[in-house]
Amino acid sequence: MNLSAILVITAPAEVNACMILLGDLPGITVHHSDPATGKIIVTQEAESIDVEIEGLKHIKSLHGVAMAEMIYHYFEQDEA
Amino acid sequence: MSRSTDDVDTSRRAFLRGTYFSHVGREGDKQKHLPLGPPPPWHQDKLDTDLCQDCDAPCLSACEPRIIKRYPDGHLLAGRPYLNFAESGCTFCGDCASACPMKLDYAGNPPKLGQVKLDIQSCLAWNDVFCISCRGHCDHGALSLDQRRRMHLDADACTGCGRCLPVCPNKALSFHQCRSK
Amino acid sequence: MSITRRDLLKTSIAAVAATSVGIPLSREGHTAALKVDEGWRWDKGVCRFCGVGCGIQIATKDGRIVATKGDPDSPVNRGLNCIKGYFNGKILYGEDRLTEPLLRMKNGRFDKQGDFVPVTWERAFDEMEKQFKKTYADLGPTGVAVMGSGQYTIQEGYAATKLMKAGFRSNNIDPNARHCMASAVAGFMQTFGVDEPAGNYDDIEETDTMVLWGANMAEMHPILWGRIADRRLSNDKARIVNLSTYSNMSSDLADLEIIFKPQTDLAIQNYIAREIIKRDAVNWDFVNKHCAFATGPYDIGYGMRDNDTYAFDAEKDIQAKQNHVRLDDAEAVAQRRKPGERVAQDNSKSANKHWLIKFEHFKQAVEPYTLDYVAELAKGDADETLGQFKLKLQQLADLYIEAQRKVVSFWTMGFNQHQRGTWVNEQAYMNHLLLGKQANPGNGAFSLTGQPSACGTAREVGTFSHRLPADMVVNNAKHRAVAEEIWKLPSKTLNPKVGSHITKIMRDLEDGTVKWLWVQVCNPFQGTANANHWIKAAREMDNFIVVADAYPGISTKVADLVLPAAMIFEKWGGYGNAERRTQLWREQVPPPGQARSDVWQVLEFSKRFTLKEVWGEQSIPGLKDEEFPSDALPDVLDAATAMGYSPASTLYDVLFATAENMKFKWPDHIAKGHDNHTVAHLGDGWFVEKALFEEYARFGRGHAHDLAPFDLYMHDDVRGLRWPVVEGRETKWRFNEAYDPYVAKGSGFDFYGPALKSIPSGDLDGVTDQEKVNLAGKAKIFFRPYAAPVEQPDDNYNLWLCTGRVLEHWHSGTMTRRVPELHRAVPTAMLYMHPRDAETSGIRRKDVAWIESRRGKIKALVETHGSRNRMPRGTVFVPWFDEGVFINKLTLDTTCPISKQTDFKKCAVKVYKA
Repeated sequence: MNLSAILVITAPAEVNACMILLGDLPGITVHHSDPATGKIIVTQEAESIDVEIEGLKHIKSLHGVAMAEMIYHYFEQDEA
Repeated sequence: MSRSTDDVDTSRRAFLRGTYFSHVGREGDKQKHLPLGPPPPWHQDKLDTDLCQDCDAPCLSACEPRIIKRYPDGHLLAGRPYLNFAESGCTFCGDCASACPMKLDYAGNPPKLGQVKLDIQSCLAWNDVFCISCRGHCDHGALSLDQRRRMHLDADACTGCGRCLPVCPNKALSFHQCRSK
Repeated sequence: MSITRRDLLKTSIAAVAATSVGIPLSREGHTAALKVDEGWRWDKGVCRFCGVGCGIQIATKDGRIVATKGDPDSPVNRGLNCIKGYFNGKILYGEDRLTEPLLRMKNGRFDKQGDFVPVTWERAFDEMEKQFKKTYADLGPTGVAVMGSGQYTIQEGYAATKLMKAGFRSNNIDPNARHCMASAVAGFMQTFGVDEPAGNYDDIEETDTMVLWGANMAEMHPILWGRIADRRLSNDKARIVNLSTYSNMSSDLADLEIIFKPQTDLAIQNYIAREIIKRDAVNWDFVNKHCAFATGPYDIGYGMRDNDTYAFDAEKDIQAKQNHVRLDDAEAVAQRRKPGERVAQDNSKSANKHWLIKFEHFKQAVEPYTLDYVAELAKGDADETLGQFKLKLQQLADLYIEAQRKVVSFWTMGFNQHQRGTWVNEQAYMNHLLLGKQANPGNGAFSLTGQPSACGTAREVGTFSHRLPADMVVNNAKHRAVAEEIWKLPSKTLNPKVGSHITKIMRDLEDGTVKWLWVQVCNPFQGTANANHWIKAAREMDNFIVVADAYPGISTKVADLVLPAAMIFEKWGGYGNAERRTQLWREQVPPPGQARSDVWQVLEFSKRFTLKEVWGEQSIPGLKDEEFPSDALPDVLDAATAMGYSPASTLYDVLFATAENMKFKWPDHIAKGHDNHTVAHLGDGWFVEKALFEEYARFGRGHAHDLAPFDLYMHDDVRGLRWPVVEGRETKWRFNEAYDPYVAKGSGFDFYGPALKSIPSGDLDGVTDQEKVNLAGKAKIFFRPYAAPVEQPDDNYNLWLCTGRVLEHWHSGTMTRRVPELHRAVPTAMLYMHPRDAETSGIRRKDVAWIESRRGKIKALVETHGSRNRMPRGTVFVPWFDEGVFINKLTLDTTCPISKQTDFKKCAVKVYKA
């Protein structure tokens, strides 16, 4: 299982709208936001790196999102 | 990896490569239609039934780095050649074109096979690790470290030869076929 | 994974991420940030691999390493890792880890021709003991041997050397570090009288010029290379020069790349010296105060056998040169003799003798090394013009000589693995000393090391066949007396006769003069040159070979008994890196199965010997020392009894579990809850690694090798300390009054090393006055001539072969090839060659080719392109990590006659299509 934290940057005015859009995405949880700078932190849970990267691309394509980068990545091997 | 809608290509070529069907559905048959790799370099954009016929595929044995494989039985393109970068990459020697019974129109300039992309999320050199494994395999000077020792890929210099692909420890490099005109 | 744990992780990860990008957190957020690694135990450690000595942080959970990262607080690597270092944690978990002792058996009994059968430790030690005692009774202390390592922890090396030298009275212990930096050691000892660099890694940030001589730092010392790159890119004046026999990745950033012919580095350095004199750039103030000129004999052989009893037929022509050499044209000029002259190698056994000369002699000696002569001789790339090459040599001299320019010369195996390795090391100091650019921040000749504790263990502890701890040697009565006092041994327990170096131990196996061998922390049957001989000797001679290792490799395959060893983070230990930085770590995870630390193995084995079995009179063939009986060590049992020992005491009691050592109790608060399987299995409650470290440190304290207390190194805020550590302060630049407390006040510089400082004087041809001159406080500037390589390409074997490492793999690959990511990056060793050489041989890229030398042949895949290594015509390169491409079957076991380090960088081969 992969967990990653993603920094999303939006126009400050778009923060709330983006948070709603992000919240609807599968595997995504919205955690923190800073309306002053337009930064949002979400975590994404995914089965594989491929799925994670797809998810990141999807976030980047959302309306109002200026930038999204993975800034913390956690990977745990499934128990054998 | 899932595809977004703008990747749909309904031309005959796309049909042959299976991209059309794989997008439309028929989940059970997906493997049958998925392209396994790009066509050999001098067959670029020419791998349809008119230009690549059933033959003994002499291009396979002509290929020095042994990267030409044939689509397996059961695949829509069974028997036709494609490139597999699992172990090596293209040297643009042109021997596949010379061996091809279709008398390919083989001009001297090596074609660009496709585009390699570097995913900086998984590239170790972007994550405080001194890693240059891909770089040593690039004949074309397309991969280089910047001042902060992060790896960069020069898209213009990249020929898509694929030699860097198998060696990346973290699978940060991926191959993207040139979009047909 | 449970939902709650997953949610907790998510919260924590998000909190860490938010903090790192400056998003203000709620109180809950802060709490969560602290919980990100909840259940993980982080602790500091050191990278397992090279001599750079990067700090890493290790996270463990439930007895397993779950993460490692570059230690941001480490001054060495500042949070960075190289690709090997990044995978430190994964090397422990290869599928074929050795987890139980294996003994070759047939019908329930040991049989050299039998198959490996798992046995208990008890059974393993029983057989080891039986075989040891048989050999010891037949051949005495010289019949047994240990091959150690520059990857020994400090405590392992110390325990092994003490057991061999003090217990078994044998000096036949020598590390694979002999192959790594013995020439550097000999260079240091002869030049400065004391081992190890004056400078440290901070020189990189202080200097303007970084000259690499036979050191592909981009691949072999990547983190230091990163620091060099930073220095180059942040300073307009900074320059990098890469001198090599082929173009490698360090050339990418080099301002000047000089490709030279193998072994002509000797001539290039003399050219620089000649230029320094010619341009009147000698720093006379420095030279007069702190230096003296010296030279030695030229006819010193090549460290090969002096007879052809064991040589393959094809080897005999080269072997004969050990005794007589016909000088070629270039060599004749270099040595002021006649071309074609046949020179008997009379000083093969006295290669290290040297004498004082005058500056006039020195000047006369370097006079033949003109630009024309050296360029003609040294140009290594046939596709470069002589004019271009001359210009480069002049630019190199300019960089060294420019008055305001600081210069650091770095080298590793290109200099050290060299038939004249000691000479070429000394030449590096020659130029730095002539210019006064030595032992100053940003100025100095800096010998890098390959292995993580080549300095800390092999050299400082002294696990060589001639050494004792703290730069002392076995063939010095005063040094033996010091060791006998600290070790509480009767006088004359220690053997004054230097033992066999590691290549000699291999030859001894072939001769049948060594019949019991214990290999620790190395893979010598893959790593020693001319391997066909040694593998045959191991398998076909009547001997018993024990190999302790973590993974199967070529050495375990030729062994009779395999012992499963604990790996780095499965035991307490310490390493010392190339800048004199000593770093210790705690046991992080338990070893798998029955695997145990080498310290435990040594101590447990020592329990099986009583004093009366080893401290009686012992035969040492060839021992000549006025204080000793001829060919023998005296019986010291009576003296031992007088000291309070009983003949029935075990070596464990006398050497290790001493009253002093038992005072270091386990558990110790410094462990912070970490385990110690060595202590647990010994079962007598003393903190072995701490006690051995403190006992060992007594050798160096007060003698310019001061180590800090064990506990200080374990302190959370300490990331290793550079010795000498005096009054809690480390020493950054030795021999420099501003930094080194051992330097005499008011002297400015003081090359205070005591060894080899009293020498006779003479001229270039020999000693003329036997009266010894005392050179206390001075460094020697040696004249050393160019000497041609003993084997060179000819019509039959037409190519040079150079071997080495790659970034992704460590040494023989036993660890790194178990990491899937690293294996994927470099799955096999390639034969790198110039495309035109390949074409001439009818070979294409990716073909399988035969490579053949006088000594053997193997197959490899051919690589003619790519940007890793670009070979000049006439030279091929093959890395040695891959046991499937066993290149050391081809290499020549010639050594520097002074240092006994093998030259892996030049022999002749041919390549043809398989």
